[in-house]
Amino acid sequence: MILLGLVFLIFSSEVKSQTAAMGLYNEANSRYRNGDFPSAIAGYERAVESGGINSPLFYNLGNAYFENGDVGKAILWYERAKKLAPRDEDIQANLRFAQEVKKDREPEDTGDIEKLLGDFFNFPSMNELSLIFSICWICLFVIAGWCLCYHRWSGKSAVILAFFIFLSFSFGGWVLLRTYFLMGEKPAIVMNDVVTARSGPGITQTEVFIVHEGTKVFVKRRENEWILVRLHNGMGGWVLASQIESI
Amino acid sequence: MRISDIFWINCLLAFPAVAQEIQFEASVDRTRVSQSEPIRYSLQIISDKNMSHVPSPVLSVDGFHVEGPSVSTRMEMINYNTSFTRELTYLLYAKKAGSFRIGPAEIVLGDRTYKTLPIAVEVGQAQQRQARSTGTNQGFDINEHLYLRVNTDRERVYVGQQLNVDFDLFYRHQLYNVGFKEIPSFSGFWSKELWVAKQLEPHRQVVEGVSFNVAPLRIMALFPTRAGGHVIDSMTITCDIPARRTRRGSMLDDFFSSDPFGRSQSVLIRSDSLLIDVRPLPEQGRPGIFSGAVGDFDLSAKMTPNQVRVGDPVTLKIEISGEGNFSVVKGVYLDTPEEVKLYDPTIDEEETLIKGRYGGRRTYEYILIPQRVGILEVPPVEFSFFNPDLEQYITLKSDTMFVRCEEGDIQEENENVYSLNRADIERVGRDIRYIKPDLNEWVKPMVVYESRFFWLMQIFVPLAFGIFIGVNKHRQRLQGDLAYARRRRAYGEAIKQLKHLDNLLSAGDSNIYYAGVQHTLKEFLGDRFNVPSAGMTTEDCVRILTDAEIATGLIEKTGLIFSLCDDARFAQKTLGVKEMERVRIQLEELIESLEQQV
Repeated sequence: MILLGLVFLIFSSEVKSQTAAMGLYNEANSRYRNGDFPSAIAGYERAVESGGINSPLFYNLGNAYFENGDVGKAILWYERAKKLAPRDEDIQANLRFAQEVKKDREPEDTGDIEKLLGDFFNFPSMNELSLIFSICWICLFVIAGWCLCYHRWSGKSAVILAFFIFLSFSFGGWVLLRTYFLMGEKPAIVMNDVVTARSGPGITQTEVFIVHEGTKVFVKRRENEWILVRLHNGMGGWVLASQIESI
Repeated sequence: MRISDIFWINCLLAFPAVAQEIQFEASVDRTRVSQSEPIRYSLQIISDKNMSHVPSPVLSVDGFHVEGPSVSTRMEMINYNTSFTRELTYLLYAKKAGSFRIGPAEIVLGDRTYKTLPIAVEVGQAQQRQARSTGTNQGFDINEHLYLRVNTDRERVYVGQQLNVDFDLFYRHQLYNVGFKEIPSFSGFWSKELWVAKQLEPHRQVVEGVSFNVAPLRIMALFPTRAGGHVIDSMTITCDIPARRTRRGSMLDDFFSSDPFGRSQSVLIRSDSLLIDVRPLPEQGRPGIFSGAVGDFDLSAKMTPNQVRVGDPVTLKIEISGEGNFSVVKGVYLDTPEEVKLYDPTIDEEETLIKGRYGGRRTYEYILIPQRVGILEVPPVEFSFFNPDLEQYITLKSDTMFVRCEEGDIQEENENVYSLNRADIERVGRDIRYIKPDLNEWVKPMVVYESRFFWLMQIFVPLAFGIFIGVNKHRQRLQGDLAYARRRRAYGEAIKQLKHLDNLLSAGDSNIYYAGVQHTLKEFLGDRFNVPSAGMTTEDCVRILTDAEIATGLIEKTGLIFSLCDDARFAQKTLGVKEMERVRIQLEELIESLEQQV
């Protein structure tokens, strides 16, 4: 009973926070429509703080930042929205647009086949991929158990089992590979207008390159308030942690 | 002397200066022929040296169809004088009967031009099947065996009405290399080819008691464009027929008899011409909107959507379908109200051919822009045509169409606004896409891949599977292996029996109690070692334990318990409750020790 009560309490508080987030979101939308972008940003941020995790919220927050002239923040929130809804056309379009507006040029597109493979690799979201893997994995053992229990071993069941083994390991491998890249990449967005990267974690170190607001970097390691970042082209440098924000 | 020999002499006389080096001569195989037969016209270039390159001669053969040339060369040596001859042979078919003059042929060799002499020929009238009783060539009538016939399904038609004309080849024996020579021009008609033979596909037909192979060659659909008598010209084909040289030397005489050398003769076959009477369309009853369509048509009109905002486009789709010549269908009569802006239609057309009748479908797609609020009424669309079978004009009408127009912003009167489908769209500005709308339901995305529970569940699945396999295997063994089943249950059963002994102990009946102790021990040993417990003696138990290499102390302990029980039961030895409790404890210890050791 106590456990049930606890579950109910957790559930009801979760519902309450989600309802609050939705109210804040809708309110911020009306401010956005009125052209009051700073106020809309505040509203969306409060919705996020109250536990709102939702691709429309992140997308609209990105829009509000963009309209307010904060390209870096806009790109950050579009990227966060894209993580939740990788195939949303609006998110993709606005992200492209914002990337065209920022100062630093995006890396050159890779070849057609590489791009096609990359798009295919990133097409399903991690959620979808994990769920598909889980379904195949469970089906595999359920079918194997059923065959074992009822002695239904035949060529047909072997083919079905082989099929699910193949699916399970393919999707499992896909999930692992995506997780490996996600954990390895740790992407972040430059928030300041101009950020100077240095050869080491300190203000006295040599300046190695300059990046501008909205540029995507990849976090490699941290030392106190300094972070080693790497660019798409492989260049690396140390920047202050406050100058970038993780996606 | 043959005719060709005469011309050889003539040519030699005409060019005495050339004869020593190059001679250029012309000859024909006959000077009198029928129109359906070819004349073999040969040009010979004779030289005392072998010529590597000889240009094509220029012929002057007006009034003939020319085929060829076939070229042959030969070398002759007479009295140590060598001559090289190159012969070009043409087949000439006279276009009409009469007297003709084959003009001099010219050839330029080196820096000199050589000419042949002209040749006069007489061409007789071709013998047609319809007049086959007369005229044979050297006693033979080709048309008894081979002729081309033209047929029409209608000889009297209205302007614009379809008539089909078929050309069929009638033949009695094998033909080779059949080819079209001359196709009628069909002047005065709009023509459409319905079918052309790619190879002869004959069927048998008996004509006036004679069996023929009949091969359709060509079917044309014709639509007269003006009234009056129109002649469909004859069609001409060529083909090769088997030939045999007769005693009289004619190649054609008795030509259908098989030739022992498989030789053939080329012939020209011509169909009759055909007169078609074309009547004008009647003036009486002709509707004002009639635009020349003749045939049998249907009309349909549909307007979508039927509810729009003022300024939004409405599509009016009109379709005319049926049988007739769509190339003369000019359009439909559409009377739109003033408060509608109408744009030029896009037209889509499709031709059909059903059972030899030409027809199709034409679609007009109009864009209408309502300019005011209210019910817009579009009057019926009208289309008029002449039906030649009914010999009357018919006017088709669609229903009146209505569109409800609601308030809306009227776009600027700009031609470009509603011509988006006719011109490329021009980008005039760029911006980010607008925000997502308000939400009525907040769906928190499920981030399963970051959940530990999710991944624990994935690990649990194979574990559960392993447990399931173990349990299943155990269950199967219990069912199939009696020794295993007894061994597994021995200890459990013994514990149960010990509890039962406790009850007997409280009852105080020592005889029954000791019997119970013996029974418990026997049952345990029987189950544990898979031997029958009924009738088991102390010696049996000791032997079983000894065989199982159980520790001697335990064997002795077992024997001791058995002897105690025997003493109590059969020697009437009085043992108190304390002794009974001690036996109970010893029994429990023994069972546990045996369970651990076995």
